[in-house]
Amino acid sequence: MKFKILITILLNIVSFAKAVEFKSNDRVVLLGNTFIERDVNFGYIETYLSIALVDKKLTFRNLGWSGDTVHCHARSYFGPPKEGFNRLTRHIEFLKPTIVLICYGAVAAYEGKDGIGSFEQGYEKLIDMIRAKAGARIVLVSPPPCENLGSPLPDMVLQNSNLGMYTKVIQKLAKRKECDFVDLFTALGAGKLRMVPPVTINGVHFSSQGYQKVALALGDALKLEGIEKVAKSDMERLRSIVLEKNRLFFNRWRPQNETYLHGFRKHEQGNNAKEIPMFDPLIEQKEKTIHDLASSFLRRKK
Amino acid sequence: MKSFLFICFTVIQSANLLAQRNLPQSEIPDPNPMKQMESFILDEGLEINLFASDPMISKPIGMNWDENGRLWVVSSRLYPHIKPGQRSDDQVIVLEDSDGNGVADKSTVFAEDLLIPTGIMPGDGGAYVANSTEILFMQDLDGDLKEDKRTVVLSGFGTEDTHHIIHAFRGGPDGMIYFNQSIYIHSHVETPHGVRRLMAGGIWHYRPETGELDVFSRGFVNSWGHVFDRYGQSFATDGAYGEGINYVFPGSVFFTAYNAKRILRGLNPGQPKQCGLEIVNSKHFPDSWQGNLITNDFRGHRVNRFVVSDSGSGFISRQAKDLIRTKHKSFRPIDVKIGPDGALYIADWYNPIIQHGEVDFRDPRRDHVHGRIWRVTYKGRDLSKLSKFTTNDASSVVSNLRSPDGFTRHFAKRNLRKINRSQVIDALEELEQTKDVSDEDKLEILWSHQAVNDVNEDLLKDLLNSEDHRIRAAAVRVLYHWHQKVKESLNLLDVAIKDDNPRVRLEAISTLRNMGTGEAFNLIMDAFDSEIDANIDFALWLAAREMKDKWLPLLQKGMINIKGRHSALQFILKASEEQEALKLLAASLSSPELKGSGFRELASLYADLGKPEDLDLLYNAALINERVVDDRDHVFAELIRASKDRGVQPNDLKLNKLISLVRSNNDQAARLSGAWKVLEAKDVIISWLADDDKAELAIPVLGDMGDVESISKLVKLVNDGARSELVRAHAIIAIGNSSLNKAVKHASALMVEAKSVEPVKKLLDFFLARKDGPKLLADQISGKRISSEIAGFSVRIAASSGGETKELIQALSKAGSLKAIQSGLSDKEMIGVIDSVRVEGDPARGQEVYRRSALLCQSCHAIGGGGGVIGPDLVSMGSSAPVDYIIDSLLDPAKKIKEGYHTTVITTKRGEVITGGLVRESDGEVVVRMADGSFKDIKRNLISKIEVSPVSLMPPGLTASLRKDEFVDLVSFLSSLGKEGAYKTPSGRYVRRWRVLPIDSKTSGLIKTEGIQFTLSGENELPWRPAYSLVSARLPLSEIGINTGFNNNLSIAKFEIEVSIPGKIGIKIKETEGLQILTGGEMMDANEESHFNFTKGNHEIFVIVDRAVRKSDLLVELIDVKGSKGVAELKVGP
Repeated sequence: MKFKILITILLNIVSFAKAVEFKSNDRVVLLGNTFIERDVNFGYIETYLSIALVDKKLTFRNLGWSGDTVHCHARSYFGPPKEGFNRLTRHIEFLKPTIVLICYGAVAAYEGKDGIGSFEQGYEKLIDMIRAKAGARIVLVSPPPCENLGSPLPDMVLQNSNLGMYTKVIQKLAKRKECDFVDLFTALGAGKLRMVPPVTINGVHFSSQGYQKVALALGDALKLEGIEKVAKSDMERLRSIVLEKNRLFFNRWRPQNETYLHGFRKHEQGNNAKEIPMFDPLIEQKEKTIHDLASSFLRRKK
Repeated sequence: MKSFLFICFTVIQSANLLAQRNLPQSEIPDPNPMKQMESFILDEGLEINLFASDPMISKPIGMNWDENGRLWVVSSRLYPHIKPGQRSDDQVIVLEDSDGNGVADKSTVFAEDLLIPTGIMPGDGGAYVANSTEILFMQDLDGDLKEDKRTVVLSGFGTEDTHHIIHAFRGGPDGMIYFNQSIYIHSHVETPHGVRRLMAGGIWHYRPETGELDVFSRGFVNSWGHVFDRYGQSFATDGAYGEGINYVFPGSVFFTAYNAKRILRGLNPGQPKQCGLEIVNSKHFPDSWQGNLITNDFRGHRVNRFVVSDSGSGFISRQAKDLIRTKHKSFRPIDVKIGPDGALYIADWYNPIIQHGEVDFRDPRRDHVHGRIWRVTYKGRDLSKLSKFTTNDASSVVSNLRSPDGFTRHFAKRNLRKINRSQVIDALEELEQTKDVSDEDKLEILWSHQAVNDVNEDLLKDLLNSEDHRIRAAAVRVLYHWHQKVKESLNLLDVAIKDDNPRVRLEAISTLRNMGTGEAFNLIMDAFDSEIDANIDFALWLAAREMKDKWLPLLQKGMINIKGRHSALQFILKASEEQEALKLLAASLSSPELKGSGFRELASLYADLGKPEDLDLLYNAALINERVVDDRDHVFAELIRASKDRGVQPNDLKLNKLISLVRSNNDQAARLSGAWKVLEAKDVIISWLADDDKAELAIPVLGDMGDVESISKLVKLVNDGARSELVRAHAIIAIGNSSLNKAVKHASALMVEAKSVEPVKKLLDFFLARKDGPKLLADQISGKRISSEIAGFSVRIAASSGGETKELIQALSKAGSLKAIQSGLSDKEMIGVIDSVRVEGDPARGQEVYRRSALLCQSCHAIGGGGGVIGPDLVSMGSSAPVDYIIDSLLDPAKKIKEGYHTTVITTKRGEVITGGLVRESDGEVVVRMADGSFKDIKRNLISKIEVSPVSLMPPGLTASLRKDEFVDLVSFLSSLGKEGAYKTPSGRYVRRWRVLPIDSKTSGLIKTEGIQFTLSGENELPWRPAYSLVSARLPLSEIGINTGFNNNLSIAKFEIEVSIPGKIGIKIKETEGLQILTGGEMMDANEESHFNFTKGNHEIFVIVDRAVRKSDLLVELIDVKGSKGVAELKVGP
């Protein structure tokens, strides 16, 4: 199946300002909550972008964390939320991204209007930190809408109206902070469009089909082409390598046993932390395979 | 006598040598399963066989059955940590016993690309699997037992420690999946209902079809077991905190939950640690076993049995005989489940090495290959037959809800979820109408409605009126989940909150708290009219705190049902900890009627929260004529605290009254005048300096006043060589309280001339407890000469303080010309010592070494509950830790520190440094256990920094004075602890914590004139000393018999019990010869078994020993009296 067909069903793709310009060897970081984190298991965003921008040889690092907010609460381990922010700062310093795609707002939207002040303030601080530490270009992505899948799952009408409200907040913020903006909320139907089959498993978390649509919508918003030129089997081959790389990087940046490796019991088992950077060459190897494979698809097509 | 061990003056930061060491393989047993089986010692009537073994399975971590009688097992070869480049290939394996002979004959790999999976729950056409940060739902679409489709259903679980990640999956009677997480885990999980967070340990419940995820209970260190009884009540076990079985209810909080101000206790304090939990609900076992709990002492290689019975709102739990005991070092029972045949299946993780915090991740002795499932049956009793649930016929599945086997009932309910919902509901209603249906059957039917998400109000109401309190309680729990859907919830709870049975009331309180409205709280107030036991007290306290935003405004408007319940009002106001609440308590505080602990608690609350006008009230309340001295002194102490911690004082200090109290030698008033800097009192206090006894009080007061004259008086004292070193040290500390710089010069000077260690200890404690103290002292000491004795002593104090003391230690070592000697052992030396332990080690002599007071072991460690609590209980040390680990820990205590025993260093905003073990922390305060065993509360708003120190509270060098043979014996003893044999604590509730009375001339004089009864029962301050029983639970007579008084044959010991429910309590004494018992003022000859009627609270029981007759050690056990409601526990600890 050609993916162009899928794209045509997507509505109202709004992208603020001009298209994001990707440069050669850009290091892309994806940052956000569960929505971003679970793409690690699907890899569509990276697969599509790798093909569409094959000559750029992009690299991708997913720093999504379930339950996370602009304050980085979910990354804080034993400490207060601000420790999560410090941890992310270290990761940004380590990865030195040149482009950061950020998608927050889904958790905050449960708080409705009351949460907006703290959300905006935190988001601004986050943007400033990333710019100060890495000088990266920043793309703000609105949270996607929820689906109403019916009883016994909860009704998501209120949450969708909140998500719409937060999308507007993010859009304004993007303008003020001179970031690019992708309106995924509207692109995926603003909670008004009933997708058949559904794109989520429970109204909030995306399925495999859902992530394909997300990747296409994102590609469209970023004005990317070329995905449709690649056969599905080739795409899947590439995606399987992306998933292997994602798994390696997950064990690299968010290793288990953090308490002993770098935490307050490192004086006991910290000697084992030396193993962690050994993931780096393995990740780079996979990345090379991704680039070679994507180039080979394109050569074949020419 | 040559000292074997290399005094350690340096805390070495050695790399962990363990992994590189070529350690003796002799400790690793033969992996042949038949050899292992031969080593098992079984309880009478039991038989065991091997159900499955490697290579069919390896490293099982968790298991659960499915409705077809297949056992699903998650296993991990990767544990404890994936290596770079290693494939994550951990498995889900399904075991089948197709011919029903009790041995698995088929093993299918369901999935094999997982990363340390730790929990599994088959069902809904596949299985839910814990996979590191996620819960996966793996579907089998074609029934070939291979995963076809994978969905991440929940994500964001923490992985800070791989033996803490989510585990213990348990199907609830309500159709939910319950699972646990341990203490280091911080989870942030998004659901369609919003984000759910759980910091540190706790139990979750999850309903897949609605996406609801919530926290059921919080706390625990390693909550590795959870099970429901026949009536839906929950029990949990813990693999680290050692209180055996825990009764868990909604909102309950246990050691050591994040942000917990109060916690509940386990039912078996002093137990070794346990993993996995199952309840016997199988007709295959005898009647006396029904409802018993089975769990695993995975350290001690045992499978334990506990008998639980109703007690108030909760339960009591008593240990019965072990099912399995063995000396086999790799037997690690970690999960236990009843199978479809009614037999017990036990997962054996099979590993000589457990844990990975203290033993290196890459220790070559770790086993990554083996694993067993054992099957335990009862001789001569029929096995159950598995009901087949292959049918989709709702009525036939529903009929299984009446089965006598828990297994069948459970899987009938789970299977209903696969059948057409309206057919299920019809079938359930039909069964409900059957003639002989019992309330227990109806409860299963109600739960089945819950399991298919159908609210059945009529049946709920029916069961809320059941004759059986256990059914009523279960029905209230259903309402806990249904309250939004049942219109009459409040009316129903209005009845339940007044129920005769405490458990029903407990459930009602939890449910009303869950409703969270002001109306609901008004009903909660009715619970104060009935008896309040420990669980109910906790639930009320929790409700009052969580719902304060709802009830406090109502109370201020007079809209809360007080109905004359003043103590209830006080209770909720205290629980709220709101400054606004103080106004409402003013009348109680000022009333002369309120005295003792009630008054003091209230006074502390005022001191914690009060503004100056509140403190005026408090101060006045202390000064009324009727106030007893102790209560008044308590208020003064609290006013000092409010002034020092928060800088808040009353508006009116009533100087005349205060000064007159000081003149009349009131110590606390003198201290208060210091804290408030009442210089008018200074002259009186300066006059006290002349006398050494009085000076001790006067010195800190002058330090607090801090004016020029006071300080100059103190300096004069410091420089007065005629005064004792101790008085001079106190004066230096008092100066230091106003100026650390000024004090440090005097301190170093005193250290140079000091003859005894005591004043030096005081000075060091002071400087180590100040942010810049160690550095200032180091600078001052450098270039000076200090005696090697004082310097060596000081180094030891500094090294175990947890602070930044490197410079100070260097300065002290130089000043005392101490040689820094290496404390670690080379590989060769280590192997030599291990060999000596094996060949020459004598654990009996080692126990004597352990008990020497000079070694201080018992001041910090307990064995089975008797002893200090600063370090971990050593009850199963030997069966959990390799010998080299024990040796390393003795020589370099900082090298490996048990979880929960790390040194926490708290720096306050005032620059004080407080060092201790973290007990619990909440938003409001942090509680640490100090080195002397006392607890210290530090308010959050006073803290500037909390750090976990890499230094152990155990000072290095404690074993330095031992000869080699003594050290070897000590290691031999420690490594025998918990292993099958003489050094495993017997399972009864034996007295292990004693106080013995050395009878000096003063005491003997008192006994002579007043008699023993009066001497012991009166308010005499006697020089009691702590003593602890041997591992065998016997207290050596030699440790009691210290007698320098008139009657050389009289010795006295006592122990304490805490009675939670009044009634008859039994004491059993082995050999009563020469013993008399004294309790409640009555003295009697000892009997083998005697029963006493005790009231609620703490009681002391004295054992009076006539050593002319008595020759053998004491062995005393606390027992339950048949037919009595009374419940008591032995006091444990230091």
